[in-house]
Amino acid sequence: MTSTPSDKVKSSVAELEDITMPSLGADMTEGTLTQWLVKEGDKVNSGDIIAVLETQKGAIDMEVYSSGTITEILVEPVIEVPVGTILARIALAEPSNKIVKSVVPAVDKVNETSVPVVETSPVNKQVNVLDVKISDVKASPIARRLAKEQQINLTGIIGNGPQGAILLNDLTPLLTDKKQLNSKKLKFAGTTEQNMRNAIAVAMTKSKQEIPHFYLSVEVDITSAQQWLQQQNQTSPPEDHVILLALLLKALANSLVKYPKLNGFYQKDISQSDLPQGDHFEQVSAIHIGNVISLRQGGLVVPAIHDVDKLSITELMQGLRDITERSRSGHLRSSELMDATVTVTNMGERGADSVFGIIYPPQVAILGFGKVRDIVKVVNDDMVIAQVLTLSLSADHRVIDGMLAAKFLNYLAKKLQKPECL
Amino acid sequence: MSSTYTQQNIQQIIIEAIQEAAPEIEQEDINMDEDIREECDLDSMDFINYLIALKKSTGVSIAEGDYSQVNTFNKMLNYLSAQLSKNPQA
Repeated sequence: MTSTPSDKVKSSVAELEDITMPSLGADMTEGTLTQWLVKEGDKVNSGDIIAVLETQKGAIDMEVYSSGTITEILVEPVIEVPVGTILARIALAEPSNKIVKSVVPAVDKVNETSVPVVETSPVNKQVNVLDVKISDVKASPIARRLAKEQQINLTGIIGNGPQGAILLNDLTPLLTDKKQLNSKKLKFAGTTEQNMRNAIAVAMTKSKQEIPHFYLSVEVDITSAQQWLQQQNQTSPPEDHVILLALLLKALANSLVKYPKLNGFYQKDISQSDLPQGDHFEQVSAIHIGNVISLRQGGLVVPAIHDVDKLSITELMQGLRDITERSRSGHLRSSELMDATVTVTNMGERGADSVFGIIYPPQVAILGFGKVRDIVKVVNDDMVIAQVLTLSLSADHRVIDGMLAAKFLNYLAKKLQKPECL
Repeated sequence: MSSTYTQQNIQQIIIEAIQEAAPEIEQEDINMDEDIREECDLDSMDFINYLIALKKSTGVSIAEGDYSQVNTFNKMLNYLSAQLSKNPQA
């Protein structure tokens, strides 16, 4: 695992860290804090649920990624804020070691690394949302990000925020790109469903424009896998029932151990200029598989099952049942939506023969599973009936070459021939 | 102990189990003799969650071998009625 924790100012006193509105995927732009589950002075451990958020992905349990003491609550519910807004601060129990941070999509790191800790010490609680002071210009994080994207010089603009801080709305009239303006406006006006639709539109458009996708597929014989499943499920109670998807995910995880180049993040070096030299692929040893789950009311969420390579089939089934249930009930955890290292879309159940997904940045690959079909196959000059499905792969050509992708798919197909070994 | 389940009880139990997987479904949305998975748009994971919910509320455990006997609402109703009268939950 190559993690490159950001350089922080070390000091002998407890180090402060900002807790921000998380980006739960590249398609999320803002979230609503609906409830704090901690108060100032509370001790928390990494992984504790500290707040409840309402997002384009439904209600989310927000976790904290460090252990320490909550020193300040800066934002009171109920309030909608852009991704990256500082919600609270935590005094770290130990010097920062940002394991989770290193696998968080680098969507929103514009401000984080360049802010010395000393400067973020609280002076004015009232303007907390906006007091990230990098230069002399006050601006909200999303305005800053937009300004960077659109190369707008913020100096001299007086915004409508507290103390003249520049807000997103102050910048929208300056945007030259009308389409972008319209989509941004829409995003803030629509219903939740419309929000989700727009969020998907923005994220997927960006992915398709930035990532040089290439696609390949193989037809895999899953007759033995299906037989194995039938034996397993014939008499077992529903809670022990195994579905094909679990075998596919397990085989995928095992294949990624062998072909780790498909598992990780393509990181943009946004602290530098626009030159691509700083961009690099960060291979990740943990295998967290994001599963595209369609929400019944429309839209989708992509919660991850963690460390799939280390789970038994039974544990994996529990994980799948669990995320499906919580996607419906609104208790997905923030980390589950942030740290997938690869994604799977399973269209088979809905009757499509194959699906070629759009990569979810900063990941570099998405697998597609099609529906199970009966075919006639020639085996030793005889015709036999076999069950097959199409495995597809969309991959990022900046990181992966066709030959590697083909080897990977064939390895995965081979793994599925021995379901009892998964 | 005699069975405390009436047809109406069981019907209600099935609806509630379906709603665990598909919260927006109402009884009038379902054609009782059509494939329940298609009627309620349940994928295989939803279907398992539906069966688990039924097991929680009735104690009846349904294995894949019996799926063909429970694939419509009415078939499920008959199946559960038979199971519960045979072996009522304590």
